Amino acid sequence: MFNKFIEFLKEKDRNTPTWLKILIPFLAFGGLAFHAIMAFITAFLITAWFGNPLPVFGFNQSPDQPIAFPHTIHAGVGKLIVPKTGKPYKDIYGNERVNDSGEPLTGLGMDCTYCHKTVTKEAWAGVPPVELCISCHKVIGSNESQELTKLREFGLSEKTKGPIKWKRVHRMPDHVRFVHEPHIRYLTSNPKAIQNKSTDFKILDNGTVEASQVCTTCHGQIAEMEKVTQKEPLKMGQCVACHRANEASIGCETCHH
Amino acid sequence: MVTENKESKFKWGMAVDIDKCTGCQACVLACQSENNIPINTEKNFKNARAIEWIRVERYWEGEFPDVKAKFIPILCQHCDNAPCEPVCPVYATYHTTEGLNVQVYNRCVGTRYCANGCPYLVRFFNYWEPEWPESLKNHLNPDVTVRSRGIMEKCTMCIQRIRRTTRNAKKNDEELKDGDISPACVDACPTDALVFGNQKDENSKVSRMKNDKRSYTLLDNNLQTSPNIFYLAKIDHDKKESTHHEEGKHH
Repeated sequence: MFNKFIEFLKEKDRNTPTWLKILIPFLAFGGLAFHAIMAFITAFLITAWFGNPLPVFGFNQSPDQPIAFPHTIHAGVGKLIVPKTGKPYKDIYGNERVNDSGEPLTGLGMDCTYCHKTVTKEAWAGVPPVELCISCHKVIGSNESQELTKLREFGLSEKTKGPIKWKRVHRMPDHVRFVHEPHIRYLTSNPKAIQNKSTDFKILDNGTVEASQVCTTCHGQIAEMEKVTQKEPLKMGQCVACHRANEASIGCETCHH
Repeated sequence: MVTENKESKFKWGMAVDIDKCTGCQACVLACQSENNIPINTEKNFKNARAIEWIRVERYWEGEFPDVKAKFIPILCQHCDNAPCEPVCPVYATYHTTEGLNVQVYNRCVGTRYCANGCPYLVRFFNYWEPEWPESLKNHLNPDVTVRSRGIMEKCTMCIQRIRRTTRNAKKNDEELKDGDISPACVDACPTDALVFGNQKDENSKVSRMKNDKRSYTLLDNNLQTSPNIFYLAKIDHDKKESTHHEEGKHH
């Protein structure tokens, strides 16, 4: 079979050397592959320029956390169903979040500032210590849940006690100084500037909103995320557009110092 | 070139009383740790590539044994007519509305034109990636960018402290008082030789020192840079009083 193929090649075009005849299809395929790679890199750069980069090369907008903490069940309000499909949420093992009779669970509707305490006072929103998780999960939650077992290892057992190393999802570059406190302060008293409003958005009688209604502007609907994803690209253009619209300072020294 | 900004309530400035300066270098050290400046080794000094946003220059006067030492802390003069600003091709250095000359690190491409233009030699280029020993890595100030290799850096008048204090004043609905804001060098000065404040407030300490008869600015008469750092000339008790002012002008 192979010898026949070689003989066929030899007789086909006598002036061209045989080794080149064999190489030509590989070269053609190589060119195709080269163009495919270039197209892929161009696509990556374009997406990275205009929004969140494609989730390759370690650019992952939703990294796996050491414990799959569901914001849906903690911060969600009302029946826990995906707004688009109307079906209950699924946890990372594929089990639907339903009770014994098959109905979707009800969200706890916890305030964001219960865990992210320093968001109204400091630069960083802050991640709670394990003790805060344990204060509820000492009692609440079944022993069969794998994620809760992991949490109790972090918080309760003497041997493995220690902080949870959460992976950061929303991260600013090193040359940007973002401070949460003034943004929360402004947006709570000026609810018009809030974007991506949540379904239970409510303006209080004195014209302000609660601090937990503000987060959606930059972080998206965290309460509807089983695994936290960065929805907004959070590029400088977005910051400047909002600062212009609200007559905030747009000098470089505002954020870059 | 910057014209007077009428909108802003603030025009920051600093006054340095050379008569009080003992040359202790506390300001240099404070600046170094506040602003994440990499550690200067002996080799860096020998190559004239050490980074010091504020430095204390020493001058000897007279012959031994009648010697007098004179110290002048020199930092970025935040000139209103700054020679470093128009030469930057990417607008990485510019004037804020509050009269500060600031460097935008993420815009800088490292042409070093600004350092060549600066007559006070207070702009520094990062020739190397900054390095700290492992034990010092957690001591870095989170409010200040760590400058990487290939970009220019300079004194910012501790803009992170200015912004933090103004933000906290807004948060607590308070008015900023004179002396609320102080850069790291001013905080560290044991003899209060350095004073920071708002020049638009006539009663502020820095305005009063600026209008003092001993006050002079560096190289201003020759270069017309109109700096915002004011030096109060050293009082020499051996000389007659009338010469103080002239001596000041002379620098």
